[in-house]
Amino acid sequence: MNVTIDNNDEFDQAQRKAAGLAEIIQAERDSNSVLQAGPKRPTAWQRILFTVVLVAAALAPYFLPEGRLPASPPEFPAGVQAFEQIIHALPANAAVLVAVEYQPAYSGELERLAQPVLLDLMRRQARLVMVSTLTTGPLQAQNLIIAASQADGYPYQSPYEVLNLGYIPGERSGLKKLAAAGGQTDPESGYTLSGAAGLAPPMLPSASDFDLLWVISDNPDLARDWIEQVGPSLDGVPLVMSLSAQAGPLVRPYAGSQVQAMVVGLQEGAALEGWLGFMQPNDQTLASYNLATSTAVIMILILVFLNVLIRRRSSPGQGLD
Amino acid sequence: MYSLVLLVVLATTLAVGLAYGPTGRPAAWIFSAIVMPAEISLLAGLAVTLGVLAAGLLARGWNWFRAVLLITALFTLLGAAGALSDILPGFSKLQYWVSAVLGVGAGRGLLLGVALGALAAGLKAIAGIDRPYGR
Repeated sequence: MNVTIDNNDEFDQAQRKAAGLAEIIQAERDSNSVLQAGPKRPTAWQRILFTVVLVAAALAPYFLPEGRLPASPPEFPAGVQAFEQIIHALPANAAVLVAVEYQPAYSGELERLAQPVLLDLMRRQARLVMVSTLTTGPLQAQNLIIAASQADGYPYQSPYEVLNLGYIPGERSGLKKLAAAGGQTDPESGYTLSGAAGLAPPMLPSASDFDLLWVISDNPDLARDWIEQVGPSLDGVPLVMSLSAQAGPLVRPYAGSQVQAMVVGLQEGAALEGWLGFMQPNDQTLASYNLATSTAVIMILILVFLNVLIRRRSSPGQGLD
Repeated sequence: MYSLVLLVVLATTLAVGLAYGPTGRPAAWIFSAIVMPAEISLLAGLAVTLGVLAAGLLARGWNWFRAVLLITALFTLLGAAGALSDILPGFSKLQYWVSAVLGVGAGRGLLLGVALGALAAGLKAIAGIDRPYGR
């Protein structure tokens, strides 16, 4: 008898679960039908118009006479000032650990942020050690060094002045090991800038043996990994960051405490560039970025207006919800 | 066909990396000539798609949440462009406040919510309360 009751209970329970699932599936169908009923998938002409106008705006500064579209002179925020003070306080031949933690897609923004700092460090004869927890990081680091060497007219001689130690496996645990003991990257993984294996590079010391830790990142999680895993072991070594505009807001709460200084986005990068003396008087890249971003805002507003108008005309009885 | 191309490219890239090293010249060429432009192009396409979708947001129907989302996005874009800093004094400070206070608060709330959800799910799994369907 008891067995029958249990079976009935299980049967009821299964029925309730089935009914719940059916409701969820029905809700999904309903929401799909609502989405399909509306006019609201962007039409092809909007995409084409948006693309053409955006590309034209981005290219305009390169074709107009210099100074016609001046880049607005960036302000000099407190974080940038702190960054500049830390760089200038470094001793001669300082050892700097550089974490190259950004994806190739963001290299346009972050290389622009990193170049002036790298040039300044090179002119101070800093010894640079490049590492990354991304598989593409070693190549990004190599590109950075080559570009800075060409701009400075002084090729850094690996491995005495710059050491690209490559990929740190293990993500957070790899960083934790790096912070604790050092030497966790395989010395054989060090390559010279020419790509051929150079002299056997020294074992990587722990993070606290450097004079500065500089993290370049587009990813707030990776930046946080460096702060949380390596930061506590730094023992007074300053930690500074160059971050993309999208990563900045999520890392900014650490500024001033765990992170001594940070530069976020192209505007602050341009401010630091000017302060370090590398800013061009008519910066076409910055003018292009400013114009394209402002144009995107205007285009979105125009298309919002047009879309609302089209909706009202197509269904005059409904208007806006 | 696509799978075959993918496998051939995978094998070629692996062979180049093994033969010349991960930062050797051939690997650097593959990276600079193929990987980087492809990723940048995808990101540029995403920017256009997001811009057009943002423009269609209010056409789907007006409500406060959508309006606030759109206004905040446009406000942040203008701040990133530095367009209004010269015209409106204090705009950059306001933009910084939105980013550093509202944005960070929302981001932390999301992270806390995710962490608490994961913790609750883990505890339910350990305690055997949350059994998978079919058992």
